[in-house]
Amino acid sequence: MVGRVLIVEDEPNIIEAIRFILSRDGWAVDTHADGQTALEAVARRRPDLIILDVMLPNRSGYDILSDLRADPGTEKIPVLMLTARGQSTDRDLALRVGASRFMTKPFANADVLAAVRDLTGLGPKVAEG
Amino acid sequence: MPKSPLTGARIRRRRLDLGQKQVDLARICGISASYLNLIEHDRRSIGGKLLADIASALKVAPETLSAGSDPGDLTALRSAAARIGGELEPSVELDRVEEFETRFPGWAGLVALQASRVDSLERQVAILSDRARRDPAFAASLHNILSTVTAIRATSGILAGDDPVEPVWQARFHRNLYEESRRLAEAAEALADDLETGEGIDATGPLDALDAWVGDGSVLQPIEQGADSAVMGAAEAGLADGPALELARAEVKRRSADAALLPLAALEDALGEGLPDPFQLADRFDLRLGPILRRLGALPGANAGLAIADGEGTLLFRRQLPGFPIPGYGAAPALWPLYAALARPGRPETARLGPEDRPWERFRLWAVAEADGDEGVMGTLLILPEIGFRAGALPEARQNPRSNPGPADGRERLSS
Repeated sequence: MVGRVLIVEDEPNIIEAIRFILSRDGWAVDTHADGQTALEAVARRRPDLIILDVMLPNRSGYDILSDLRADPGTEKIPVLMLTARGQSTDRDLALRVGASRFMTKPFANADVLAAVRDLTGLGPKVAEG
Repeated sequence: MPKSPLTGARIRRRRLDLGQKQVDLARICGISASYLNLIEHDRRSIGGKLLADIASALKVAPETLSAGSDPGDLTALRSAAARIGGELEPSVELDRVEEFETRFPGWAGLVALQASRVDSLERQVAILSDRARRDPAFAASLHNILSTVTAIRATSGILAGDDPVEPVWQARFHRNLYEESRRLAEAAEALADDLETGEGIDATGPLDALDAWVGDGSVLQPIEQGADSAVMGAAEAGLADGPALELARAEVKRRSADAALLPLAALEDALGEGLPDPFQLADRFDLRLGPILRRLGALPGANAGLAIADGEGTLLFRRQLPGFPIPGYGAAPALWPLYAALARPGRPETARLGPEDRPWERFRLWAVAEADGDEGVMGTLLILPEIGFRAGALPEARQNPRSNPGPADGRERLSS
């Protein structure tokens, strides 16, 4: 296992695709469709990276990220934020709240893989594209 | 009286605007048509009594003919060159802009008009983007489509990749693709229906409706003479009962209170040449900064922008300034000083925005948040162009020089 990634996303087919890509690359992958249960899972087992969607049911990705950054036990976890809205204001907001990187949907699989490897410092580098 | 090398060109322009023949003007002024022709082509200098006679015949002040072009006109042209010229800009003869404006007023007007239309379209795009962001149904549709496209792209990327995929996974991903493509088709149809019927986007946000009713601001001017009830009546006639009317009522009340604190005439008397200093004016009239900013932003005909927001940052009123669109929502640079001021009530914020090498595209901003009676805090943002500020409307002949009845030669005139 290269490392552990937690995906917080409410679209099952996106989860399945990302999970497949990462699993094939050697990553252990956990998934949650709800931010609050994801926070509880992080408290139980710290992942090497979190892929976090902005538009989630109940609490938004920004709320979840804010909680992660406010907790000394999770503040250092790299977070790759995903959103369907590519507006610069969303990107600015994500980075202000503390996202390690911001990726706009739709994305290329290779970009996700490259970002996960880059942010964790684990696994070989891949060309972005 | 100093004479500009373009005085003759201005005489010619004014004469043509009036539809007057050269020979007629020459006769009135007691000179020959050929001599007037030389003057009009700036081959003879002119001043003193003859300039006064020509000015009188053309019904303008001599200074209008001898002084340079209005800085506002030149700023508009420079700004147009910078913003619309794009890669052409280095080859645009900015040092000859006054000559261009004077000698070719029609073309200059066309350039300025086009720039103004581009501004207007950019504002509309900003408003539509703003609405799209605020409209929950539209945002949800868009999110749905983008999520579906993301799933399709990621899944098809796996299937089309070089790495082999086991048959069981292939079947699973094919099924996912089928599901997502159906979802995409449904979402696209729903969005198309919404757009076609206009139900997907709220085309009349309260602030947009208020903008449309206020127009150039003249509808609010009777407030300066104390005719608040007339303006209130006009608002009730022009706006449907709802949030936009509430915004209009609040603006009438606010402007009336500000006008009582600082009458327009007193403010106009206090304004000198160039850019006003709101802090100095606040000292002079012993007023808080907020009312001063709002009074400057309400100067009729001035090229000033104004934004007023409640303590939450929601805009209550705005006056657009060409070249500096004020969005109704979002963290646009235009509104940062306002948000910064709202974060620290009582502490004014100032800012300069725009490129250093293009002073005509630079703007000065002042913002302050102050207590607003029992309603909490109110933020005010004033935006003025760093150069070319005008405290009032251009004189009629200069503001709309091409709106006179058509000249004798029958050329079509541009209306601004």
